Amino acid sequence: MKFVKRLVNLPILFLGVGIVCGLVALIIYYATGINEFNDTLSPLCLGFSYAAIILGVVLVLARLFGVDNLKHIGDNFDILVVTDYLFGLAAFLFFITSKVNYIANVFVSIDGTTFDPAFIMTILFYLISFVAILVSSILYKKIVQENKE
Amino acid sequence: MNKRLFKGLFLGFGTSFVALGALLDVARDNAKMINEALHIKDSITVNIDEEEGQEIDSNYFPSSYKNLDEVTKAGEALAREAEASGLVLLKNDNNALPLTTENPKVSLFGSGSIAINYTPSMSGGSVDVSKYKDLKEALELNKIEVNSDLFQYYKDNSKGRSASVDGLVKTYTINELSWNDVKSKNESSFNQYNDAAIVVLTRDSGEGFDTSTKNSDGRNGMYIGLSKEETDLLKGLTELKKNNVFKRVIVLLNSALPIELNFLNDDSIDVDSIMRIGNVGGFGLEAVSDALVGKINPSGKLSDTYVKEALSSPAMASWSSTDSGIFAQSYSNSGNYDLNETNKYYGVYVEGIYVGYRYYETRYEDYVLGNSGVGDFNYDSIVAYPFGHGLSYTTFEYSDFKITENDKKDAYIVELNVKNTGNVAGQDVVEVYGQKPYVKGGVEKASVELMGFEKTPSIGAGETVPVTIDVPKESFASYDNITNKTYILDEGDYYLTVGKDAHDAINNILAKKGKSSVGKASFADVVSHQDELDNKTYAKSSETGATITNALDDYDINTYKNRGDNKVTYVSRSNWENTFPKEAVKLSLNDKMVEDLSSHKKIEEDPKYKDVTYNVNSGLSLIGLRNVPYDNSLWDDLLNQMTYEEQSLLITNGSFGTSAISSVNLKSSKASDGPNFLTSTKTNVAFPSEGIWASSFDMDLLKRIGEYLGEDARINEVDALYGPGINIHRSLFGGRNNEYFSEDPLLTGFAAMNEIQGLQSKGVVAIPKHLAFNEQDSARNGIAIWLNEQAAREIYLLPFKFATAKSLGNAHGCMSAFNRAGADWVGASKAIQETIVREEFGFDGYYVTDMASSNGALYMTFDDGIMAGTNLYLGAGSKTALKEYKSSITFRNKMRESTHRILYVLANYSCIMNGVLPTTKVITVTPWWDTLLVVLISLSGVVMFGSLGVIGFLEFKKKRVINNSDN
Repeated sequence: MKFVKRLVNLPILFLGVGIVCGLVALIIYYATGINEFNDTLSPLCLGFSYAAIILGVVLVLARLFGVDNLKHIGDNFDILVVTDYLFGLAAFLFFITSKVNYIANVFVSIDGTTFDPAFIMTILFYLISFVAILVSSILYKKIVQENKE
Repeated sequence: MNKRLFKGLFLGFGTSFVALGALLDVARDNAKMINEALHIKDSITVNIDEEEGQEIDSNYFPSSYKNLDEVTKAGEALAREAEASGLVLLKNDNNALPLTTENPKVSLFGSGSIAINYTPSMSGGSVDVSKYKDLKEALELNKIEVNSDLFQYYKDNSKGRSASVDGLVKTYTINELSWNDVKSKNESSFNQYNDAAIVVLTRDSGEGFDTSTKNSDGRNGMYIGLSKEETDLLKGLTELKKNNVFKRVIVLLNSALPIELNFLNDDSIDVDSIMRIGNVGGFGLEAVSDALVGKINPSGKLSDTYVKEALSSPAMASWSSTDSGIFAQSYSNSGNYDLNETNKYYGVYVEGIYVGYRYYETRYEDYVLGNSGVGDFNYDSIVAYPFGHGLSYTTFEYSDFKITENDKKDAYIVELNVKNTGNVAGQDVVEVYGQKPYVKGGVEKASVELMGFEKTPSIGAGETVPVTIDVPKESFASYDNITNKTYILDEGDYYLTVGKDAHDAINNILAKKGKSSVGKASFADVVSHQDELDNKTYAKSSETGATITNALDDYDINTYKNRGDNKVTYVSRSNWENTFPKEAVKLSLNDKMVEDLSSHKKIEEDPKYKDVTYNVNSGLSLIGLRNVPYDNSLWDDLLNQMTYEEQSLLITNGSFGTSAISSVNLKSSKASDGPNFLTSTKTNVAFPSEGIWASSFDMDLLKRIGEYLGEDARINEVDALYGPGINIHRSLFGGRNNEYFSEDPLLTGFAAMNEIQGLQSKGVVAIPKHLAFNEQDSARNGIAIWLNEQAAREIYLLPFKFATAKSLGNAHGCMSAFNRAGADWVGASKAIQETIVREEFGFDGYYVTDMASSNGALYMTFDDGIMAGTNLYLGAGSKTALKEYKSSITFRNKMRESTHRILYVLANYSCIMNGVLPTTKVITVTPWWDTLLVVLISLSGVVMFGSLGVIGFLEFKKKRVINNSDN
């Protein structure tokens, strides 16, 4: 019960949403990322995706086991969440940069290429992921501030 | 210190660090495009010894013009001349044209009259058509008064042509106005402007998609058929002409695609004149206006057959039976395999050599001769105007026709006199056709093939000029891909004839055979008789001496080693009825085919290759190797100066030009797309569609167009042009037909050759395209084209011979196509690129891909292409793009060959070497935006990590305070 109570906390919920969305985006990317425009997946996008998910999970576990309440860590927990947000943002941006040729081809509209649902879903989930983690970091900052006061 | 502040800094600058990092990553991948948009050079040249430099004239390719204004004016005049020389008068009853009334008053009909097709839609850019004259303005230049109310009516009410895309299919619609509406609102003005009713029928086309054979509002759903509204318009005008409202009805065909002329079969439509004007380019309407009033005398001849039935050719019969109405089909069992958009489509060139007039005139001959298996064939109900047809405002007569041999006995000399028997000066085109003997069941032969032509100078009324045309004997060779697997001369009689067009030519030959009273036997002759098959004389390349034998068996489904149960019955004149395609050919895949369709083929190490040397400086500059033969060892020394990474950058980063390489003092080069005009040109000069150029039959004009395009390129700081387009008008619906010349390979080849010579004389590298079999645009990315080798060599590759052979066009570049030949992407086809075009034709330039970075990632791969002879990738590459192949000695050698090809062309044939001296040093520079981004990223990083550091320090300080207070 204590564990559940510790998880029912707005910042952690946002963080959780961010992790889940990041994971979904990663899965869709793995499944559909290779197409006529990309014969490999972007290692930078993958790397930052893993980093964001792993760090996010660590942070959730830290919250679960009360590590975020420890001195020094508690005061700076928000920085770790910000770091996680930066990883998520990087994953999203490197996904976009790896698809620049595809995006350009759609806008030039010579070959009739359109944005396929998988691409749109990947973008959306990555976007929700890092935004959710960002919100989480802001909320954590507020909590830290409130605790100080 | 305020920790909140530093946390905020960490968040803010962390965000900018990541965002700018990603931006830098994508910007560097597209550096060339960014530099061009911002007018930044990626290298500077410095002359390190001015005194020595002064002795050398480094203007290797001088320009004929001083400034943009001069170039622009020259271009405008030439573009107008191209239209003037190439527009074709198809019909001119009752001497309806020229308009001889002083200040004629005309009414313009058709939505095309206010929305002229100047140029096609092409990749990479366009010209500003709003700056061109519209039809009314062009006519008014010649004091033709235009019915302004009617013109305005169309402007206010016309819905405009439109197009919608659904997957691979682009459906074009004509959207012509209702005749009843046009008439009821405007007929009060007709009588005042009744010298002529001029109808403009316009069609669009463009890259990426073929035009519609179904679901359009043209006849039977075909975009190039007339719509009901257009038909009603012509009927209505016919009626008005009968009632003496209009004196004449003139139709202008404003389309690069041959509009179907089915209305010629309709007795309720009576038009007096039809003029094919193509896509007119920026200044062609002025020429059309001149032609209407007789200021110029039309002299163009059709470069394609114009038909009354658009689906009558065997190519179209198979095309139109696909469900989607496009040429591409999926393999019947493609669902059983894990395929993608670049390997699941195919098409079969089932008609073999019977493309365009080769079909119509051959079946006609067989019909006249009563050969078995011809079936029901009514030439006149299908063909409106044959290939080579074109009228004039005067008439010409031929006489004194004779054929001799040249001294070397390797060519026939056709001579005749051409007399202008009319009242006004004009030019004629003498067309020479040949016939090879057909042995039933043997190698397919068309009944006539264009073998030579000459456009006369302007001949005054009553005057006569002699014309001489050489026809190489090699023109009579046919490719036997089944038995002899080389070029042969079959036994039998070989004819040459001169004709007004292809149909006239076959009638002359039939008359010579005593089988027809329509033609003139006196204008045909048997030039040779073969007693027996000759499979030796033309079995070696006349360009290089290379032995010629089958190289493309794997691209013919009937001889493809992994064909499984697949089989194609090619169209054969031995039995037209049974072999004429009734539906599209169905092919299915098997495991081996799928494997052949895959990319990243294993790189087999070739023991002949030794390891490659890098980074050994011999103090050479690329300019020092200008005029040094390709095989000279100095090239090895130069190539040894480069690093692997530099070669990787040069080869893979070929999007619209090549990169600067400082180790060999190479400046970056810039290429432009074409071919009808330079995309994004400062001159805004657009030429008519290539079909109009070809219709001029004026090779001097083609050369001057090439020279002009070279000057246009130079003024835009461009040194290579992706053009001319030299694929074949295989069908009427090909989306890029406006960029190609003709259905005939010889006319295409000659046009290409002359344009290329002109272009390259200005130091602009010609890159003819697309090698090979890119006659359709829908599903072009990876569509597999299956065809037999006879058709490949005689029809589709012949223009590339004219373009690339040293003794002919000598193009120093060549662009490979998006499509496959068989299972191979053509850029990965050693058979096409190496065996045929390099070894047989003698091509010594570089191969560049089509837009590899666009949607070719899965199949236009570096390893497959470079190993098969591709030298340059039209994409955003890098120094590390080829890093995974570095361990292969064979691959490194192939890279070296590619680098060698590129450098050789640039050193010897490119105007980027203008001003480069042996004492010139090329220094690559980092563009300011790259430096700016790096600085901003660094700053962001410093602040970000610095903030983290400060936070850490503050925590440490706090901890110490706490510890101290505890103590």
